[in-house]
Amino acid sequence: MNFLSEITTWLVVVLALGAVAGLTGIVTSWLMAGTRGVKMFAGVLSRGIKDLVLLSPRRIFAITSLTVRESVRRKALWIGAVFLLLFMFAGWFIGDAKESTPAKPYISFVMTTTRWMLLPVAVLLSCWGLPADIRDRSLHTVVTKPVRRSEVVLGRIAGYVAVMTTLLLGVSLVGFLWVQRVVPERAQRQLVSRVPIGGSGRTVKSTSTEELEEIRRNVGDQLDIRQFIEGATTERAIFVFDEIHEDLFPGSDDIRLEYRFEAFRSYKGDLNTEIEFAAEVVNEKTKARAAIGVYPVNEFSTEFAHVLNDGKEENLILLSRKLTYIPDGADAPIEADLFKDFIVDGQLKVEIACLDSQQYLGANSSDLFIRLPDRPFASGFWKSIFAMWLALVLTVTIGTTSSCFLKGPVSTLATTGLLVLGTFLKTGLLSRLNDFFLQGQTLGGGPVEAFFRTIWGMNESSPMDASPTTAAIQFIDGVVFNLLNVFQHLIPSLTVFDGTPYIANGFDVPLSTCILPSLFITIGFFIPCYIIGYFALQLRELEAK
Amino acid sequence: MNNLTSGQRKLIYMLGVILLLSISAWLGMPSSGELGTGGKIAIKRQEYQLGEATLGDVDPASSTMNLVLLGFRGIASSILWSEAEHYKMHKNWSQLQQTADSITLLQPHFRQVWEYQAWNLGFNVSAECDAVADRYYWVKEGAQYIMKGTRRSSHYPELQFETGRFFSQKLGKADEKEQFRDFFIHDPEVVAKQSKEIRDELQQMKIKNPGQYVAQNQYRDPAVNPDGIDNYLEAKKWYERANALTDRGLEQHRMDLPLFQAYPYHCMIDYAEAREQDGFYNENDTTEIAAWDAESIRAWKDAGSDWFNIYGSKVFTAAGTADAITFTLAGTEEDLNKMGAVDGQLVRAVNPSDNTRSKIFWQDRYRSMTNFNYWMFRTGVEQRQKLVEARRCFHVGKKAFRERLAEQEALATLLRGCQLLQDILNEEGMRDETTGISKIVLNEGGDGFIEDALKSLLIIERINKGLPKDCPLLELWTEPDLQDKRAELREKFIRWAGDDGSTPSLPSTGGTELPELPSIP
Amino acid sequence: MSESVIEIRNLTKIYRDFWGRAKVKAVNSLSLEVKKGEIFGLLGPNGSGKTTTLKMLLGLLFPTEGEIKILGKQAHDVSKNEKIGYLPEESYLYRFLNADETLEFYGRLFNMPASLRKERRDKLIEMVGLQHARKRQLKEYSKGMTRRIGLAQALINDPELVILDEPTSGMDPLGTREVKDLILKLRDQGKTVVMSSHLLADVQDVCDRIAILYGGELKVLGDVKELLESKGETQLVTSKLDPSALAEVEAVLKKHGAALRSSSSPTASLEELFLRTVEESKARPGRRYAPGETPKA
Repeated sequence: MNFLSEITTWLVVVLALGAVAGLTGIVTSWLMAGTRGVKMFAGVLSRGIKDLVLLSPRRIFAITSLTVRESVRRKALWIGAVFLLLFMFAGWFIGDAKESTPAKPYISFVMTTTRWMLLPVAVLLSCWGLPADIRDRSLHTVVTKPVRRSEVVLGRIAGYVAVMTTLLLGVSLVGFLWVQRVVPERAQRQLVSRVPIGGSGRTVKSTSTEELEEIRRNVGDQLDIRQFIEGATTERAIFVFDEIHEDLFPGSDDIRLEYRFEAFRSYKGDLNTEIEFAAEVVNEKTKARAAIGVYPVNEFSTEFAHVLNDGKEENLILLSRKLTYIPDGADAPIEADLFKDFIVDGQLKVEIACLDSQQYLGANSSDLFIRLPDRPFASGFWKSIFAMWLALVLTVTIGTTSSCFLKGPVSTLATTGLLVLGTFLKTGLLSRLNDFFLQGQTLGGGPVEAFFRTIWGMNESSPMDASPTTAAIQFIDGVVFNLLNVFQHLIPSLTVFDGTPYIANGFDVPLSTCILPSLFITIGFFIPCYIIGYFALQLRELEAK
Repeated sequence: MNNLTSGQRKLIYMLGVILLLSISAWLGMPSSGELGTGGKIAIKRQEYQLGEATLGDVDPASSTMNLVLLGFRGIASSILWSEAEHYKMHKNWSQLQQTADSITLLQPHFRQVWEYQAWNLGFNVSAECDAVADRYYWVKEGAQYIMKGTRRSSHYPELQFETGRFFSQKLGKADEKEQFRDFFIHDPEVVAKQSKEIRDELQQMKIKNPGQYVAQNQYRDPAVNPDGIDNYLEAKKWYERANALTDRGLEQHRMDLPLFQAYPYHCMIDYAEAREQDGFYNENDTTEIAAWDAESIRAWKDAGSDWFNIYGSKVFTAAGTADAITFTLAGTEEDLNKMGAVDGQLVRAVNPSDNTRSKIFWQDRYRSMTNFNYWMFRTGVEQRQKLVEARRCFHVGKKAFRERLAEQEALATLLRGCQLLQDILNEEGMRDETTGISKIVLNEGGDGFIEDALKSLLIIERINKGLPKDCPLLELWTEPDLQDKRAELREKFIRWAGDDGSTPSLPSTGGTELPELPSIP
Repeated sequence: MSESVIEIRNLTKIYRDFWGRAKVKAVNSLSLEVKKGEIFGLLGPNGSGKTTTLKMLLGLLFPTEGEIKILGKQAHDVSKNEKIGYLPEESYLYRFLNADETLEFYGRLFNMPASLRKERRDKLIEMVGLQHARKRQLKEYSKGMTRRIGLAQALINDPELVILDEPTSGMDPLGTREVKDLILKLRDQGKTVVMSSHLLADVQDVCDRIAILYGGELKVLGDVKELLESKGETQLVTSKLDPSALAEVEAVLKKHGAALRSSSSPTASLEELFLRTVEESKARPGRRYAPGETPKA
């Protein structure tokens, strides 16, 4: 993720929002009261800036603790008990627990239930608090004290965050212990946080040619996840790892590479031996290459294979520091050092060849990665809990803000809608927009076209007649897509906050693709939300019926 | 309505409530347990066996989930179903399995769900793995999934039947049958769990399929093989359970009932066949050989007697006739005549002998449909010491050749096996009277010992650089019906041998004039 | 003349409907001035604009037109609240807090240090007589108790200006008396009190000056004593006279060219004034004071 461009985008969006709001404000006040209105607008703005900045921690804290007390007295913490119940009866949801059940469903279960039980709580708490205050007029008593309304917004957010934090901590602690306890012994070793360094992979026809010719070969999978290279040919899968330095591997002679390739047999062959591949490390400059070894693919290998191996890790390639290779033109192998002789400018290049004739090996970029020393499961777990906490903070922020100008039920709907959009639909929306703006079309067209296709019973890909109607439909869809492209910025990408895919698969939660983006998104939403919330509360007549 | 007072309106509502309540009480009153008691719905429920308890084990989790979902289970299971498809596409097998479990938690009495997802696990997922042990693991998962289905929905013969198919067809007929059948007795998972010493030993030997090397019976996985028996015998139990359900009058939607009911007895035949193909461990141990011979004969005898005595005496009803015409497959005319009394009235009223004639007509049709006569004949032939011996020769000879032992010894053994088989084929009554082709070949096609014989001929051809002129079983080499089979086996053989197969493609000097060989793709 | 604490000029509040059309003119060109140290009463029937006026003073509502200066500041200036105590119409407090927590909370909102908060808390709870119930949640309070704690929170910051909306509503006579005494005590401490009420006795007893509102318009404004003083009449209150004595008094009056108009006991005459104002306003709607004019007391 390119942070600079992301921040620029954020600034543009926030400034655009501010400009729209400001312009609307000036125009309406001018229309209503002429030049005096403009002066009033300036007054509101300058007071606003003061209110947003000059804050009293004690007053904020007073509202925070009030919020916490309110939530506690309204029994919000009881949701924790519901969790305990859920964990007690988790077997119902996970299905028959067997010795061979991997850790993944248990971890997913804890993370998913935690997430989907706490998010609604956060929505309900934050969306109903302020409207109830306004309705009961208890806010009157508060705002007739020397309290800035910005402090009310902040205090409320902080209070809900405090409540959600308590809940999250309690629940995740139970979940953490529960996972450790219920994961079958055989799968306990999956409770780990692997730290990968990913590379970029490609499949090529041959590595000897100057121009590398890509191979795009599907063996009949529905999804084009992997490209397949043929065995005993010049076809290779090449993986390049950048920024590899000695100090990444302190005190260890080997670099561990982990793989998970797929095998595809064009004929059954010898059933008792697996498809095998050879790995080589290549120096891009000197073209020197050293063999690392030959390995079976172990495709989708089940856990008992590990038991059989006495707990040793499968699917690992140990790349030793001391290598031997035969230089061009020489007869005898010579000794070499991995870091000195094979890593050029921090770049490590590994080539994979399938060994079995007429059999295929499938690979993609993520199928081979450098595995740094593992961290304990707790590392990944608490990081993903932290990401979840950020999601809760974001939810509370959006909920509180919307409740500054909406009634409880409406605010709940709005916040839930935004969450659902951000969690389930934004990825799809972005890929649609991508299709539209990069390829100029999307499968099935935009909303209007899709509507007409449905009415006329046309499938997604059948061509539309070249008629003025089609042109008009596509014009409208184009406008819709352009609008969506603008407004998609207002939907938080909540999928980023989900650390579950990492820890459920035994990986540590990465800083760069999960924690930091989540943090930035949260802050990015918090700032405008805070400002909007303040002005909404400041400019509204609390008494208005 | 508008001119009614609020009191009047309330009265009308109240009456409506009472009316609706009494209707639903009349319909929904629970049964006291006795047949025909309770409300209309309860009676119907008993009549159609729709009560939760009559359908199979009651799972509290499942019931609670359905209660909690408040009638949204259709939506919930649809979502789960599409999730399962998503996981399958992304090759996320453990999640797929979990989701499949959840679906059946919601819809435990939906037969197709059990069948479809068991197939998904046992066939589709299994085939994705490269190591055979891993494939076997998923076959087992599929089998256990559908076994759970048989417990939760115990009124579907299909589910019991499908379980049987997992054990017989999937384990016994797959390309990996050799390993699968072995794993069924020596489960690699169980073996893996055994003491560290064994594991270390296996590791030193770099053995991928440890099951083969651990002979004891306790390495079975009791979840799928509670008695530690052959997969065909386990399959037989499941087919028999399915038969028991159809005997109770429960309908199955797979095939004609006589075909459906034949499966347990086919298992017996498959068992006898498969254990002969498995061979034995030590070809020099005469006691072992004698025991093997005896067991082979016994297995075939059992298969034959079950086929004739049990299957043959099952009473079937001809399908698609206006009257219920009953018959047995093995029954003589006299037997059928006696059965007349229980038949439909129309035919009997006209003429009792018409009745028997129509029975014989249907018996004939079903005999050919079920290959009844052929299996009678086949089990009879297989019981002969000579054929058992021939099979033994094929096995020993092939093994000797495969393991590159003495080639000439292998050649001699195989030739001897071929001669024994040729003797049987030449016996009185073993040929079709009009064409002169062996009855076995006619019915058998290229399977069973004919396949063994063809393989042996291929080996003989290779060792001898061409088939000898006086080679027995040359009729199999020229039989047009077996052309495809020969081509297939040759291709496999060449692939195994790892050469282009050019050496034996032409008869060598002194060899017989061979007919044109099937071309190799 | 002492300085003004509140100055209202030409204050108008129009409630609008969804389409922006004027729906209700809640306050119409109201101009007032409240002087430091006085008890000022806002009188009027329900819906006359009392509470709206108070809320505009406090910045809860925004005036459609007109200006407000309160303690020399704008109504929307948060800092003015430092020196204001406000008791809402009904005590809009957090029902899940107890008395102690309530005062603690509002004390914090004034940024008061902890020691001061505790001192004030104890004093105020004692003052409003809630010592026995200080640990009970407000939802268990009776209406009178709620009023008391509401009063206590309004005084937590030792305000210069106390705005009381219907301070005695829901209180028993004894409580009412206590509140009235408290209001008088506040004046003695030099504080300014603005109260609204429709209970005339309260106003008559404690207010120095009153304004009567009807239909959002100011109808009467002035010193309570002056307003109730009937010009051209002298009221004598004597000890009980027998008929002969009365006849003699009458004779004396006749001699001076005056007549005895009535001889009953004195009545609550503010009620008269109020009713008269309301009746008259119904009969003759319209302004009594020109827009923008601050009526002289």
